[in-house]
This record gives sequence, C-alpha cells and structure tokens, in this order.
Amino acid sequence: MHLVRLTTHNFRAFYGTQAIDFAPPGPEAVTVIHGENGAGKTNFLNALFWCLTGEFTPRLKNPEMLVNRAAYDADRGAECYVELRFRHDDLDYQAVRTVSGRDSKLSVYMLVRGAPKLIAKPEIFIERLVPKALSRWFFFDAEAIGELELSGSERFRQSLRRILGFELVDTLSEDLRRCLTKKQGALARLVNSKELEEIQKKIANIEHVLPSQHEKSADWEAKALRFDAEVAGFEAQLRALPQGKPLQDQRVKLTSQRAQRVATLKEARAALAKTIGDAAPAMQLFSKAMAFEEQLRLKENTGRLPAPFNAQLVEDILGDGTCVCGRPIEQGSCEESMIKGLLRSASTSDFNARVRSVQFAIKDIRGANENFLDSAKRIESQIEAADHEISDIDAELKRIRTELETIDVEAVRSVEAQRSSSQSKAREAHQQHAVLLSKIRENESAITNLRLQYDLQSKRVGQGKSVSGDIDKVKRLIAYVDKTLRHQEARALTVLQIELNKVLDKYLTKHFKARINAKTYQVELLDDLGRPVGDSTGEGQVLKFAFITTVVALAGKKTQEKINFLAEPTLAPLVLDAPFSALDPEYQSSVAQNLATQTTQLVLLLSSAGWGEGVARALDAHVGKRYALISRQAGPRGEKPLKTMMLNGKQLALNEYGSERDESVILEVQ
Amino acid sequence: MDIKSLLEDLGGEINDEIEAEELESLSAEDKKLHEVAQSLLRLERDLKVPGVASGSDVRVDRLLEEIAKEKF
Repeated sequence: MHLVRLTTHNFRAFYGTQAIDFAPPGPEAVTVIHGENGAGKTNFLNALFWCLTGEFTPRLKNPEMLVNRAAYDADRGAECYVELRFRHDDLDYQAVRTVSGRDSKLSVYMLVRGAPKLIAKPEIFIERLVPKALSRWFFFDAEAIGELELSGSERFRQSLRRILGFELVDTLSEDLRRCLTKKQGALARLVNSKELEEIQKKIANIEHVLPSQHEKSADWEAKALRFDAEVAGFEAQLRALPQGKPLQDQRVKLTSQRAQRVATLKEARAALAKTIGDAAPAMQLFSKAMAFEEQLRLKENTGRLPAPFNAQLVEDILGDGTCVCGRPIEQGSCEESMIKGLLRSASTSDFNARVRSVQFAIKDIRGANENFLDSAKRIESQIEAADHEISDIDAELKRIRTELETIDVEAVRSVEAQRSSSQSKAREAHQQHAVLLSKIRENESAITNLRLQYDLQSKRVGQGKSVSGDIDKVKRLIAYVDKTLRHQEARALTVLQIELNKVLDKYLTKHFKARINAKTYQVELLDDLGRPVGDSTGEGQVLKFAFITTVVALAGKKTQEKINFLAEPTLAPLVLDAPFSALDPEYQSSVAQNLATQTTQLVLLLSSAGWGEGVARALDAHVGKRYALISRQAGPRGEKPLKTMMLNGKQLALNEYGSERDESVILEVQ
Repeated sequence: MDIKSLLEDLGGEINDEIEAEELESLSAEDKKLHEVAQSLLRLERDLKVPGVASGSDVRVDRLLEEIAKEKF
C-alpha cells in the first residue's frame, strides 16, 4: 500500500477542504510537513489514522471534537470527512470516512479508470491491508516513542509475528490440532472406548476455550498498555504544572526505587526457593545422618568399627604360623581357628575407604544443612528489608498522591484525579491479564498431558485402521509445520537482528548491539561488554526508531522472501509525527537518514526545532513533496512572536494573526 | 566494517544458500510434507480472506478433506 492524496473537510483544525499529495515511492519518497506546536501535525496524523481505522493515536486531545469549530458554529450540520487515495497491488482505491452522529462511517471504492466501484465490507477490506493491531506501527506519534515497549509483551510479539507474516502459519498449526482432535474423537467412537472419548472431550473443551482466553488476554494486555500510556500522559501534564512538578518528580524517583526494590525482592525470593530446593535432600537426610554418625562414632569408640587390626596382619600371622606375641600357632589348633575368625571383622583398605566416604558424606550433609540455615537467614533478612523499603516507599507515594489530590491548585487536583483513576484501571487490567495468562498456561499444560494420556490409552484399546492412518498423517503434518515454523521464525528474527545491527553499527557512536530474544521477541540493547543498556538512554531511543524502521523496511522490501513458507508481510508507508524531538541531537541526522533510505514511502511531520541542519542535510535529497502547516489566529498579534523558517531559500511565516478564524492551513512549499 | 559484522553479513548470505540446499536435500517424505503443508496454507489463506472468512469448523472440515486426498 502507498499513499497518494489525503483530503480533509472540516476535520479538526482544518477548515473547509484541504489536500496533500504524497511523494510516491522512489528515490524521493519522503513527504515533509512542517508545522509548529499547535499547528495541526498531530491532527494531520490522526486524519490519516482515523480514516483508515476509525481510531485515534493515544495522545490526541479531545478526540470527540472532530468537526471544525468554525464550520460547526456556522452550520450545526456541517459535514466532516477525510478522504484518502491510495494504491495497492497496482490498483487505485479511495477510502472516505465521514462523521456520522457520534460514530463514523467508512466507504472504500476501487477506482477503475477513474470511476469509483464501491467495495462491500470496507472495514474488513482495510483490515486486510493494514490490520488495526499493526496500524500504530505505521502511523506513529513519535513523541510517544518512549512509551513503545520492546519488552516482549504478548501483544508486541503477536504484532511482530503479523508484520513478519507468520499469522497464517500459526492459524494452520492451530487448525491442524483441531483436525487431530476431531479425528481422535471419531476414533474413540469407532473403538467404543469410554476412556478415549472422555479424554477427547476434555481436549475439545480446552481447545474450545483457549482461543477466547488468548483473545481476552490480548485485550486486557492492550487495555493495560493503554491505561499505562494514559498514566504517563497525566504524569507529563503534572510535570508541566509548576506546582505539580516537584511532587511528580519525587514520585518518579520513588517509583523507580520501588521497581528496583521489587526486582530485588523477586530475585531474593527466587534465590530462597533455589536454596531450599538445593538443600532439601540434605535437610531430609540430616536427622537420619546424624543418628548414623552417632552409631559410627560409638562403634569407633568401642574399637569395633573399623576393627583395631587389619586383614593383612591376620593373614601374615596365619602365614608365618607365629602370633604377634611370639607364640607358635599350630595348624588345626583352636588358636588358628580363632585367628581365622578374626578375618571376618578385620579391616581392609577398601572397607576403611568406604567408612571414610560415609563419614565425608555425613559431613557434607551437615555442612549443607548449616550453610542452608546461614544462606536462608541471610536471604530472609534481604526479603524483610526489601519488604520494609517497599512499604515505606508505598507510604511515601500515598502521601504524594494525597498531597496532589488536596493541593490548592485546581488544575493539579484535576490531573491527579484522572491519573489515579487511570492507574487503578491499569492495575485492574494488569491483574486480569495475569489471571488469564495463568489460566492459559494451565490449559496448555493440561492439553499436553491429555494428548499423552490419549496416545497411551489408544495403544491399549487398539485402533481403527483408516482413522488411525488419518491421525498419523495429521500428526506428521503438525510435526513438520511446527518444525519448519520454528526454523523460519528463528531465521526471520536472525535477519531482523542482523538488519537492526547494521543500522545501529552505522549510526550509533557507541559499540552497542541489539539482541532479539527468540522466545519472547524482547529487543535489548547491549553495551560492548554485553550488559543491557537502559531504554530511556539516548541510544535506547535510537534503538526504538531503528527497530520500527527496520521492521517496516523488512516488510516493505519483502526481505523475508528469504523465509520461503507462505509469509505475507504487511506493507504500508511509515508516517511519523515529531520524530526527532525525543532524540539526542547527535542521533537526529543519522536516524533521519536511516528512515529515508529504509522505507518505501515516508511521511514526516516536523516542527522547525526538529528540522535542524543535520536533519535537513540527511533528508534534502530524498524529499519529493514539502508542505507547511500554517497556524492562523483570529485575534490580533499583539506581543506574540512570529515564527518563521527558511525553506528552499525562502523565509516562510508559520503563524499568522488577524485571520477570519482560528485554523490550520496546508500550504505546499515549492 | 569490523570482523563481527562481516561474519554476521556472511552468516546471512550463507543461511540463504543453506536454506536452498536444505530444501534440495529434504528426504522424499519431508518434500511431500512440505508440498502438502504449502497447499494447506494456500487453502487456509483462501478460507481466511476478510469478508468471506470461514469459521474454524468449516476450515477443519476442508483441511481434513484435503489431507484425506493426499497420499503421504
């Protein structure tokens, strides 16, 4: 998919009809839209996003107010729509989303020689091109880049799998398991085995509930992330308020300390569990070993174990026929038979070694037991200390919240109340997500056990030949698809990691590397000693940009054709609002260069602060279309500043005063 | 370019060649499984086309029909 033209009509700050033609894919595929804060860059991003998805980016303020204020004041029935022309698979399309009461209505047309042909079920059609779950990857509010989690959440993993085109293979794998269940059910009926039928029913029941549990879990996870983003937004607002800033800063510090203590607590609990696990055999043996040691000692003390004479001495006496006291020992005498009897209890070197090893084992058991008590005591005191610190921090956080809720400034109170409400929603969402994850794990493990039970039972009862042949075919297919999928998934992640590191190598000043966890898809940045580098560092932000660009570029260039199953990656342009404001200046031009060269079509919404010399130099050769968003104000200028910027050698005023109405105007810069 | 990046690049290229060779060197049984799996994926894709997507029961029946037809 690539964008051709966007037309807005009375949408948000854009009064009347205004349009932008996008630079097409090619060497100059970058469209730059300049605009100062408040000029309508986020509105523009949302015009695109809303048109395709019916939703808004999380940071858009007052999303319910879609109709332009001036148009609405002039006519309560004023029409508001966004129209997007785009090309996909060499065909032209037009999507139109219109405000309809409290909702919106989407229509999509295929343009056949310019004539529109209405497409039935337009939402589904658009969903196929840019799935809603993925649209945030392509239409991105880059000021929120810090909120992008590369931490390997299930939602993140699913999104990445969809972009890389693995969703279809996943579905096939699930469906093949359903095929197996169905065939096994048929077999159970055929051989009339109640046990098999019972197991099969249980498997079918779990298979029935698992997809909806996965869906609900993803929903709760998405909700949790949304509420987390809301909390972050309100906290940013608090920081922007002079009376809220000190308390909010303190809260941030305490929250980070709390996270560290919680991590310590988690580690300590895991260490305690490991210590208990390691010491459990020794602890169990301890009392018995002590009693045994006591027995050994008694026998030693009474000279019975080991015997005070050894076998060699007895054999020498018998061989020489002379006792140690010098008396002769005659063959067949009762002395000789007594001495021979001593051989039974005489010590041998083997026997002595065995006694010594038992004594050492007992010593080890005692040592392990004593060490365990010491270690457990030490870890328990760490746990106790962390618990105390956490409750102290919680009390302090509570105090800050109360102070913010009762502060003598309405704006702070109101933001804090909203933050608190979002935070409790976030907490609930995280809890529900955790509960569902635990249920899913339980069910997945149960289904594995039931399948094993089924196999064992079916061997016992014998099988119908034709059904068992089908079962065997399905099983072999499942094994093959799973094996191939794992192999190709690993390859896709390797390609992604290599591409990502190529970008980082080129643009980071430090020798950092990215590593993608094959299981969770977590993306980590590691320093030259292999230690993780924090997300919030300048390099961490570059990683996020590099990651988005690499993923979009991989999909765009179909690099994963190398992954030769039937992967169908998502292809869409990359639209970024305020991409460079979150970056350290040293990385701005390299990220700009990377974005321009990696993507097939790029739309950048930039303020003059984001269009520094380095960024301009990196992008100039790639810009195909350039626009400015002019902010017009109805009132007089007074003392207000006039913002200008030099574009193509011309001075351009980005705000105007004394206009007919407050509005944003799109102006093409030649 | 440092030796590590060079090796990684080389690793990527070698992987491609290995994959092509892997496909060639599949056993007769695995080749057949690969062929069947791809045809099932195509069927799955057709059954999941947005707008005319079939439910899981229909997909399972169609997949079982296809599997029954194939000899492997």
